[in-house]
Amino acid sequence: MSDRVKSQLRTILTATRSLLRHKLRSGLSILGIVCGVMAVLAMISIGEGAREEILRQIEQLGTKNIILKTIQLTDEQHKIAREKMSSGLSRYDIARIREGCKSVKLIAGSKDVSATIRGLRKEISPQIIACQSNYAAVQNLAVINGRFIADQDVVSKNQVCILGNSLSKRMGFAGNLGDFVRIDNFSYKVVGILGRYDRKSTKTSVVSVRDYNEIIFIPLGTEKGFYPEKLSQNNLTVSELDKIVVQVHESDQVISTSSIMERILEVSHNGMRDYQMVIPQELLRKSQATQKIFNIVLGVIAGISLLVGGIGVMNIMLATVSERTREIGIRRAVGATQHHIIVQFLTEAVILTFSGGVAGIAAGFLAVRLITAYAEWNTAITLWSVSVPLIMSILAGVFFGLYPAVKASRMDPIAALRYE
Amino acid sequence: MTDSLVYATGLKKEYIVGASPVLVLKSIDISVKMGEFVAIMGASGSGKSTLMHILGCLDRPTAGKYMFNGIDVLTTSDNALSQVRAKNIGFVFQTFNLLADLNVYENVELPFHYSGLGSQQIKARVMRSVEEVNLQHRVKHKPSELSGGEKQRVAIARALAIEPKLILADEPTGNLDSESSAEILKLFKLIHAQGSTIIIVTHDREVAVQAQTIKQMKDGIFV
Repeated sequence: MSDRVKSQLRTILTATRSLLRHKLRSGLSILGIVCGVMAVLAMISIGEGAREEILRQIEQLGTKNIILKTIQLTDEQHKIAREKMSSGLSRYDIARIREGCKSVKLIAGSKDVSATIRGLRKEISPQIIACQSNYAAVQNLAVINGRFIADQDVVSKNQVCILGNSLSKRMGFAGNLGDFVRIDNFSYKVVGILGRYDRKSTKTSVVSVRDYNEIIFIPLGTEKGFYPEKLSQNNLTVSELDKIVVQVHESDQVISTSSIMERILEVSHNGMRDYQMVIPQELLRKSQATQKIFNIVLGVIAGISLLVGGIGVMNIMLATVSERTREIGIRRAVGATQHHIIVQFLTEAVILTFSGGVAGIAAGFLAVRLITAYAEWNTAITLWSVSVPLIMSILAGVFFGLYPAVKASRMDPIAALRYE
Repeated sequence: MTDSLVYATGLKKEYIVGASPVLVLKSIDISVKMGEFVAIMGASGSGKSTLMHILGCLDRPTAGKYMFNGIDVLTTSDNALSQVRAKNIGFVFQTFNLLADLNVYENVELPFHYSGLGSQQIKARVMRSVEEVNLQHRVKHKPSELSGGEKQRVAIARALAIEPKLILADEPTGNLDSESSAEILKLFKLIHAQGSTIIIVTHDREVAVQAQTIKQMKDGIFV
């Protein structure tokens, strides 16, 4: 070990020893730092947790996707829609978008169906979605057994269905490939079973993601049999589609494609806004902006708490310096420079705040665990959430220790030696 | 007078007390050669402590010239003077001025924190100097566990350890009983006999007579 390292170690040892001489005082003085660091760690962890969750949810919606949704209209709006000959989203929109946007890779329309499954012991009412063949691809769904809906099923109105993973298990004997499921008065043959869908969302969902484990897919168009009286050609109150998901080739095409789609739809719906466009990428950007605000708030809170903690440390260091005036005089007499004295007291201050930081991180871990357990919030302790408060605690030591240390170094050695 | 370790002429020191300046040192000329043992004697208030602080490079004169070991103290920076003290000057104070938290060994080692010597060398020097004052059996003791005489011996060991060019002692027996005083004075004579340069500041004639030269001080000048 080099002499330089040894002398640094000696400085640290000396500082630690003089701090340990006043255990209670040192302990109390770092309490502010401990709380500050704990708060910062907890807040960063909560923020990170929330961010991760939003990201996951948005990613599940697909960052290359643009989602069109039919809006529920009021009676007043229905009248206007009828005048404008617009009946919500339809297959015509799909055709026009496909025609007008070269960047579109896949497109899938779907319709939510309300119908009941009959002939089961337990009353199960899963969600039923009538959709086109690309639906699985745009929503990233995998079929582990059998197949998904094919184009031919839609064209021929084949009465086939695909079951969500856990639904198929719960349905028991009726939930296997080749079995028949009775939906209202129609019999659908099970041709596929979806893989387990990892629905990573908790109570605090910002965007709703469907639970594809509890779902039945049927070919788009076959659902019309469930409500024959409602869906005549002239009835404009019910839209043909509830949702159209458009997937582009590259994620940087999303924005340009969405504006082209806006124009196409504007024309085809005669200016009637009976649909809504959701762009996951846009949501992502918004959430990042929110995150930025959150980070600023967090930074301010962290700053305030460390300021308060730092003032406590500064106070104690000032007391220490005046208490040890004579020691400073002795050290100066035997050859310590002003710089040596600064380093000595600065080291003490940093050791104080750093140990406060370490204690605060331990307390923060505990706090984050409690928050996760009792508030059921998603939290994430990252390298970031540990290193930021720790570095801040060290910086607080340097910042708030500097004045007392400089004060110590500026003492007149002779006056310091005479100090009683 | 280039062969003098300490060479000062016309030293003046003025303090501002309240609003009025007080001239503590009026005009001091002093020259101490290597290996000399000088006593500066005077009543309290004569300015002898102030002179000692200046000679020890802890303070600067208001006017005059002071050369220590060929260095002009007036034009030397604070940091450089700290280095001079760390390497060349050993202090012994009336009140011992040991650090209460450090044991005997660590107290003697203290100057080496600031002089940048190799650790093996430091250890050898500390031990040798502790042995010289005959305290090798008490190296682990804290100052509070020592008698007054022993404390002063630790202080002397601390001064000796750096092998200084000059040892400055300010009333080294002022806080000691007569037996310990005699012991300390014997030690100083021994150190001098081994070749050290010593300046002792005292009001006590019995102490002063141990030195080769006695300089009497009164009201800021030598008489």
